[in-house]
Amino acid sequence: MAEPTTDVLPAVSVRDVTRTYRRPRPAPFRPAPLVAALRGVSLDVAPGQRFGIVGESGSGKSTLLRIIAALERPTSGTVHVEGNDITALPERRLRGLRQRLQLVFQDPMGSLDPRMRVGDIVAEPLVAQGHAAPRDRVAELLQAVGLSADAANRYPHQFSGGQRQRISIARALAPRPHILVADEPVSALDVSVRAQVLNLVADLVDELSLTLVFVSHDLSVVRRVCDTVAVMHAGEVVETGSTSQVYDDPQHDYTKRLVSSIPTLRRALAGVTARDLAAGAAGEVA
Amino acid sequence: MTAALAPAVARGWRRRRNPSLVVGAVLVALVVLTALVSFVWTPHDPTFVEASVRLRGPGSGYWLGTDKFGHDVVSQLMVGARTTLFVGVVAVSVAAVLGVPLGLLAGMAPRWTGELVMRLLDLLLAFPALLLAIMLGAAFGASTLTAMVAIGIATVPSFARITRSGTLQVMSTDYALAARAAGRRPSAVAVRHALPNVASLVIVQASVSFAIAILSEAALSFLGFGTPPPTPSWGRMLQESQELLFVAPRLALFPGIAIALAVLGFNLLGDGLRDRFDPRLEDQR
Amino acid sequence: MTAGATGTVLRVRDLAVGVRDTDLVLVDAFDIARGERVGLIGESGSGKSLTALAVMGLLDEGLQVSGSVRLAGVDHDLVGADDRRMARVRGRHVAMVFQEPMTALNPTMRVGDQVAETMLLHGSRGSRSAARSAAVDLLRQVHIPDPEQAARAYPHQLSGGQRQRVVIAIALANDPALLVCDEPTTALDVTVQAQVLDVLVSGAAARGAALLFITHDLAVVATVCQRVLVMYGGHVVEAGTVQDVFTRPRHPYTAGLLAASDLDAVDDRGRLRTIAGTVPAAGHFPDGCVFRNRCPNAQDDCAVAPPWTGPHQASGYACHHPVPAVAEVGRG
Repeated sequence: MAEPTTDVLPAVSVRDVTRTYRRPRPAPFRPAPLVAALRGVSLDVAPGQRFGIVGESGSGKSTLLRIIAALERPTSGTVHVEGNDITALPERRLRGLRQRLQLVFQDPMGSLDPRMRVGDIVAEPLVAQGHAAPRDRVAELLQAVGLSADAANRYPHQFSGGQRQRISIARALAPRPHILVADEPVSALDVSVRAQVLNLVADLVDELSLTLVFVSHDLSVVRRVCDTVAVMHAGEVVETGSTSQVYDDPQHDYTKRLVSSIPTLRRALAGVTARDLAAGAAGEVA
Repeated sequence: MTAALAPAVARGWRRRRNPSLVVGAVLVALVVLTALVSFVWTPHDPTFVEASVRLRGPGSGYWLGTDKFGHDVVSQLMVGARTTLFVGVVAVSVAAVLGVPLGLLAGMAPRWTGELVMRLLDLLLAFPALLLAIMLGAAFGASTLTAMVAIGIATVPSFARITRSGTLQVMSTDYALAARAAGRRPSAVAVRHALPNVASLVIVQASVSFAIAILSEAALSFLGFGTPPPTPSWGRMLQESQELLFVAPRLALFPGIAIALAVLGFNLLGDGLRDRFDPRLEDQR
Repeated sequence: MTAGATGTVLRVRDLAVGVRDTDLVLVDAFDIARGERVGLIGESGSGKSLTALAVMGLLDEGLQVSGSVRLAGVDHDLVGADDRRMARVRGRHVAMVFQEPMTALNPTMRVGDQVAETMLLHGSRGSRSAARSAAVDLLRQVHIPDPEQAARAYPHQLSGGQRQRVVIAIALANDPALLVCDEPTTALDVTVQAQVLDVLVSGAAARGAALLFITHDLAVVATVCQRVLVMYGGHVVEAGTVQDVFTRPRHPYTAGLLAASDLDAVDDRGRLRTIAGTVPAAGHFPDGCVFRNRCPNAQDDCAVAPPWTGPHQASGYACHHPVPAVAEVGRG
């Protein structure tokens, strides 16, 4: 097993991680079928890197993300975050990780408790880790994501989708993490808002020198935000490389199909039809 | 999405009046008011036995007449309202205080623990509430309190069940996951996130259980296992009127109406609260 | 109306959808010709889905609708038609493909039976067995592998993409003149989306059915549609061919939308282009031009609602200060 040879400790290091789920038994005395969500995934994210993980539903990208965030345990393999093996730690010793690594979720409505005020939501990671949550820290965080400080007194449903995602980002930044893990943070947003949120994420990653792990089904979004990408398919990483290289010159058969089935304005206006995209998705690249 | 948004928008605009909530609240308020007034004023002493005025018909001195002991029916009904509210409060409190934490526990604990708790509660559910009350009454002596503790215990499963299903729902949301990612312990997630979100369900359940408790107390008093004399109780008034059903049917009629109105009131209030809470929950999601 | 004779399938005039004193949709006019594929784009809250639901007569009862929606082959106006009359129209003359295929299918019924039922309901197949075999045929046409087997499956046994194919099969079952699609591929993976779009376009083309395609994804519209209507704040703010609107947008909102969705183009500071502000809540759009509080070109005269500029309803824009016609936005 190859340990990373660089002298810089990777921010996140995933080694041979597998995860199998047990489906409900089909009949009382038959064995429960096993489903492999991850089949031996290894990857390294260097500090300061913007690392994209791309895959479709069922590719295992969400499972991998939860394992990296220690919200789920791998069946085998290890995950090191800044040198600490988090797969071996019991839940109560994950406090350090929760501070270093924070999450932004896909659904900006579902990830905010509808009965909590925005100020309490943003302060939650601080309170959970036993810190006091000073009001000015909350105000500072809200301002950092482009919201006014008086947003703290309102409830999530009083905000639009894009604003809610800003709240979610403010919460993630509260404990001053080193690593920001974003799970499809813009896929539930409108086009114009998507651009605003992507700009915000890029700005914050720069200003706070964060390491970004950005999970998405949309390779064109990942290309915009990330410098490196891992393409996942059926529980495995099938291709890794710089985003521009993977997007412009995909090597793996699946990546080729993925890239050629993405509808883009430019190609559509040049005459690419739904039939052409479907042919690309089926692997019949012209 | 616009399609999802539009009905929500329309709902927001159409926060129409809710008749069952209004009627239920009025009936419940009436019972509460009667009970409160009875502390300071009743037309006659409800427990004073006055042989000379036995079985009077309704008239100017005794608005709804008197019973076989010479008790004033109006005064008995007024003080009986206290008993009614007392039984509801005791039964619902016992049920909620035991049931809600059990439901939370069953909802957040690992699957097998939750299943175990729920199966044990199912066992309790299989036990008729009245039977439990009679057993407790036999063991500890018949009193309003024992009867109501028994009814409360018998109602624990329904509180636990509703809390658990709400908790499971909350636990599967992203905000519960976000709280865990923020470093909250499971117990803190349950208290900070699950509890406020199941509160509306519990309130609805409470008002329905209140109605059931009132009926149960009436039934128990009727059977002689509930409120012992001389404390006035609507259920015992019914029981005492039994032998005079053909002589003075009004003695059964008035407490019967009082019970029916109180039960109706709490049921309507429960329905109304459910309607009031559900759309708002959807709005916020 | 003689819509059928002129080749018009759908004719919408003065369509207004509102709640109490708030207008949610105010569409002056648009037509869809036989076999034409028209995109309706806009962000959340633009009124695009309400417009589609109005065409289907599926609006919530609490909403007030006025104006006229006429469909070829139907001898009454769809606005104000009662549910019994609309039930004869829906699924026969106009059909809908929803965003969420799981909720659009009955979970307790085999998918083959659901397709067959649509045909039996409108009497397009005489017998149950004829409808059954026609259903299997339809499932084959939407490229479901092993259609005989799939017809006996329940919705939860199929993947998301296959469920959406079943929904499309149901929509196509009675050869409707118009297919209304509300974000039909938004919930699907990219590779599946490509295949479902193909099935949708070819299925409609084979029947000469017109498409009203609602989405927020400009690239999907450009791939699928010939013409496009851009909606904002309940109004159609720009219309034209896909080529014209997407290469030479005239309304600042269209230009902003195109710039924001182009992830390859950045401004001088290396940032993605955005539209300032957010879409207001229903009822909080400004008077006059609905876009003026977010518009870079807005001036005082925008407080007066801009008239439609263009040769006809199918091509033009509603703006006092349009983007210059020469600029090519969105091609970075």
